[in-house]
Amino acid sequence: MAIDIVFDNRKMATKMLIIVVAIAILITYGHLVGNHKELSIRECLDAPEKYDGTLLVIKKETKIGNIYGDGFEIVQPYDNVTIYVSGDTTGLIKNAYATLTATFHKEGYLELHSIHVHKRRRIKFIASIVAVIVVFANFIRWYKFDIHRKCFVERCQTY
Amino acid sequence: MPDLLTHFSVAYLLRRNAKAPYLRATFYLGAILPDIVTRPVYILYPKAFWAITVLHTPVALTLLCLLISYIFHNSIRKMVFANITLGVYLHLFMDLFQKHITPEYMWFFPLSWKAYEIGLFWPEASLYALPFVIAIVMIMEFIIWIRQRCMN
Repeated sequence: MAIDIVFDNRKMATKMLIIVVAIAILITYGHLVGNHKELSIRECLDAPEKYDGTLLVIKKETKIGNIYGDGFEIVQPYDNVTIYVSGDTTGLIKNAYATLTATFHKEGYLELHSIHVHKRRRIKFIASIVAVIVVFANFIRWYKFDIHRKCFVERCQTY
Repeated sequence: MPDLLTHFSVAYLLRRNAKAPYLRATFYLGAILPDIVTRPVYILYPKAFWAITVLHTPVALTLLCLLISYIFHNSIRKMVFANITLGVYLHLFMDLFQKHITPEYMWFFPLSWKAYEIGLFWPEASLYALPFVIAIVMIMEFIIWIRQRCMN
């Protein structure tokens, strides 16, 4: 059967190589087209006249910086960006991560449309680490790596 | 994403009574797989967002599950693949109910870049539900323990 060809031991290296190449193609396609579809703040700051009035979706690891009466700063260290955002500051927390939509203005600031602050991100991170440890501990409990056969096998037959 | 402890707890509740514990283990692995292959990379290197976010789509994850199944012995490979994939799809199903400023999960990638979400709760809302989920898990474990004692 066709399904057996996928899962049997014949031409394993070829099958694995095909899958790795397919995933690599998807990643490359995502990287090239995705980056082209979404405008970054850095691109706007580099060509302010061109992108004046453009609506941006800002979600990549963006931190809230200083908070003022009528606005706040957002920081993207990986792009060396710190930019002022004018808008409602209710509920904002300094150094918290946030996603927002805002309009870019050529003067070098953003006008806020909507924002969501990712509260308790650290607790979420810790809870996720706990889950990873539990899942991998459970995995090691039921499987072992057989060096001779170069694959994972059950530690014992359970049924 | 809901936190991985919520993902794991729901997977645990669904598969606790499965007869083969070794398949449960791969189901749990699948339930956390989409986030463990994407989030650490994305947090450490945000510029790779679009490259990495495609690994959180059904097509890429199914290929990844197939690749992972090849490191298991031939006799259990098909079942391991089925369980990891089921776990992955449970994860994606749970993520479907979240909301973001703009939808994030591209269900039909690479055919479409359009993202879909039902949008019932924000990602961090799972933290508020987590104590209840853990309580349900503990109650379930207690009931199983009582039953086993009665049978003995």
